[in-house]
Amino acid sequence: MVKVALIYDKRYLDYEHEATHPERRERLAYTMEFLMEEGMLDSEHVDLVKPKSATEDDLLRVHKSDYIRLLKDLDKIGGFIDYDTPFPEGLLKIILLAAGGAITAGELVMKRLYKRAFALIRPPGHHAKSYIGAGFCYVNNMAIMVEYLREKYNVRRVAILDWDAHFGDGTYEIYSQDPNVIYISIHQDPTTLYPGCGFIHEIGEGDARGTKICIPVPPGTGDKEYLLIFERIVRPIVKWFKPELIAVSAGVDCHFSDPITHLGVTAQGYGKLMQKTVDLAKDTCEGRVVVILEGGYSVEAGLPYTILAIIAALAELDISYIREPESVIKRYGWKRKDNMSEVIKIVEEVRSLLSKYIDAF
Amino acid sequence: MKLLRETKVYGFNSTCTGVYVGYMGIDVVKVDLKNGNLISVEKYPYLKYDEKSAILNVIKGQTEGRISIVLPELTYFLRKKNTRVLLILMPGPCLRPPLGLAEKCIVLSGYIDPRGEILEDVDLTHLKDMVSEGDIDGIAIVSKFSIRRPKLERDVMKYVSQLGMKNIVMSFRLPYFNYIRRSATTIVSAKIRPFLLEFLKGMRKDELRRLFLMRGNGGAVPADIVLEMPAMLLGAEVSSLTMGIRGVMENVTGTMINIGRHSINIVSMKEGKVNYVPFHFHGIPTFAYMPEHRKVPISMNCKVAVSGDTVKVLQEEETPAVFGGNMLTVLDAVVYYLDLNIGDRRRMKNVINAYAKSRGMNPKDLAEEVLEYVVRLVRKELISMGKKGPLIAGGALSGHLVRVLAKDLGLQYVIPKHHEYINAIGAAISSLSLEVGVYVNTYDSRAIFIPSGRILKLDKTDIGIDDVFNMAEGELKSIARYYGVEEFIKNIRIVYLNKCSLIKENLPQGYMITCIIRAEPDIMVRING
Repeated sequence: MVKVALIYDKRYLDYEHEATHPERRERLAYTMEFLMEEGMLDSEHVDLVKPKSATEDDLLRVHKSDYIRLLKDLDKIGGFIDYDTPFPEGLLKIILLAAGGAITAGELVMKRLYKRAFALIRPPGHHAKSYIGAGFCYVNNMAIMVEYLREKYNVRRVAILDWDAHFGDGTYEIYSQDPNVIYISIHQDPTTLYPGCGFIHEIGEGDARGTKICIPVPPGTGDKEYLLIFERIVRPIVKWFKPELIAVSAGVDCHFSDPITHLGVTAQGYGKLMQKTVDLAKDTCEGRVVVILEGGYSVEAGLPYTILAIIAALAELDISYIREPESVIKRYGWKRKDNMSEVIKIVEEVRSLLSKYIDAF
Repeated sequence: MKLLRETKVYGFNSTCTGVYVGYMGIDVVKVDLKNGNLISVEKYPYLKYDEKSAILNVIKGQTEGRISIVLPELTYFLRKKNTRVLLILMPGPCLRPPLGLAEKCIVLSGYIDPRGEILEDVDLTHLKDMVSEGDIDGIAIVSKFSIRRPKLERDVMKYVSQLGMKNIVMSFRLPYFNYIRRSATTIVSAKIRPFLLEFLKGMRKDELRRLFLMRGNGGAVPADIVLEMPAMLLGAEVSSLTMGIRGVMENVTGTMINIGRHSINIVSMKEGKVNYVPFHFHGIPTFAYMPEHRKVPISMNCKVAVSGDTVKVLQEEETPAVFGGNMLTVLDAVVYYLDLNIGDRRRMKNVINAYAKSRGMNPKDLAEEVLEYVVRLVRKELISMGKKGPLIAGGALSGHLVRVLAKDLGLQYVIPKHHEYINAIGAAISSLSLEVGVYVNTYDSRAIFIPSGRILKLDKTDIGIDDVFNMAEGELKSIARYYGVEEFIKNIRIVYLNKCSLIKENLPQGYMITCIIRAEPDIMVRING
């Protein structure tokens, strides 16, 4: 039996921008009630673990000191990082708790207390660059976790898979020159969605060229295409790279009901993607997977089902019964499109480009 | 079950009668809860009364005040009687549902989402055949999020009632999230409910209204409320023991030994507190909590078998000879050995003499060996628990057992005052324990109360967390008032409290607020003298 550490703290619900802001407290509150009712939190397969709080030193491994100073100032008076990213007074302690949640997840796995850990945290982090936050993100939880593990556990090679519908421009920027971190992002075509970057040709810099992989997919892309991308790109690259840990930036906004994106992945699709990731981790890094929640804004129709599927797949449980309610399919199912031929072209283009830099295919 | 906000009040009567259905008879104690005085103590031995008539006699004899009963061990009933249950599940989108928990299971369509909206209707098409097969004795109905809207469970209930089923339990009576645990608890309830129905048969409405049953968690609950979820009564024998000990001893630390009707129970207490754990059914924890305890699965009613030189106690129950039986039981051996004045001694002597003679033994030696056999089993458990003294006697014959064991293990022992009817005292002095859940959806302008399932149309939408807590507390108190036991609430604990915004079409539409509270079990008073 595989046990998953689910890192969560009620204090993640302690801030709210506006009731209608996509990144609102109900994302987690509603999902936790669903997981409770499903019996996941009492299950022998899941341990609920409280996060520790990240320290300023943890942040400084990734972020500029000037930016940390800005966060501290905003914490006292409130303000904005950008239009989408307001900073309510007193938010810093929750930001540290979210980053600490990511660290806790990574640490539990590296200490071999758990093979898999899921940090169910907010605010998200993958748009936060070393010098500034953006897109609902304040600090880069993923990078903070990776750098912590590098320093404390001597981890050298990490594979980051980013499934958020939006390109994780923050994580990309932080690791663009680092050849020891593979970053693979599957995201909605940046000409149609924030942050407007993450094109195929963005492959990292210097020695790290070829270790940053951007796979933009057209709106409507769903399970079949995602699974194909996994097999044709993700699996060969990760196997070639031989990481010590697979870390997933699990945005669940590729779900077809998400209100601010336009993709077509189902809860079942998320489960299958995670199953494949677990298999890949078994092949490459003794099954170690750390998952960090990024985006996902379909509070009622998407998050509960996708997150249940991800946790179940991490615990290697049967996911065949997981689905969306019929009413959700009726209402949003039209967003799913058959983009297979287009995606095959993208896959071939990515493989052809990367072949110049890495020996994965 | 009616849980109304009624104003009709019985008024606080400080007298409470505790009743324990034991292995030798029924213990009845009357306590004045204002001052802790023991008003009267009575024992109804089984030789003169059968169990049911003894209980009815007690109830009819008490015309005022609360009556609180400790039923015989329901876990024994659960183990021995095969009540076949059909589990009707409406899990919606989920992991693999718990299909193997009951004898039969059917998964129906029908899904209520976390906000209490019916997203998929229930389809009853295949249910008729399943119920009509005639191989089930009870039905457990569980839909996900039924505590947010019990409608689907009620629809199914209505349908299967029309098919003639009587023993039906719905999961929404438990105001807790986790439909897997609700399923296990609901199935257990359906399994033991026939016993409870039989027990309550013949009681008048006004009698029922004063009748409380001891829960495994140490509290008492009105009988007609717990009839909807009888699993809550599991472990009452042990919990009444712990509450009784708390009633006669302050901040006690030690190991309690209680000879129950179907087993010998061993419970550790530290500074007056015991650890409560859920009862597990097929490996799934239920919502029925009971004191953590060890069980030696033999009782005073267990049959004695002698083969050659070996004396054994079988896990098979018989009416003891002292109460009119023909076989030798542990109780007969104990009564003989300790020369106790219980029941029909002549009959008992005839039986033990016949056993001893046929095996060429002296009856005294035979009785001693039976006792030694019992002591050996209990000693083994005590050693595995770490031999934590002092040993504390709870129950009529446990004083004798505790003395022998303490000497044997080099431990101190305590025979508390009133230990012969400690369970009945525990029942008499226990406070009310009841959970209430309220779910408010301001968009739909409705509030749902659990366990009644009552739906209240709200006339205002500016409702906050405090208002919902007040609604829950009001509901709890009005239930208590209806049963005349408002003063029996000691502490109210918030089990769960949450508020979520409801957003539709990117516009805030209101809130969903959930508050689950529990009247915590406690003792009402310490016993004087």
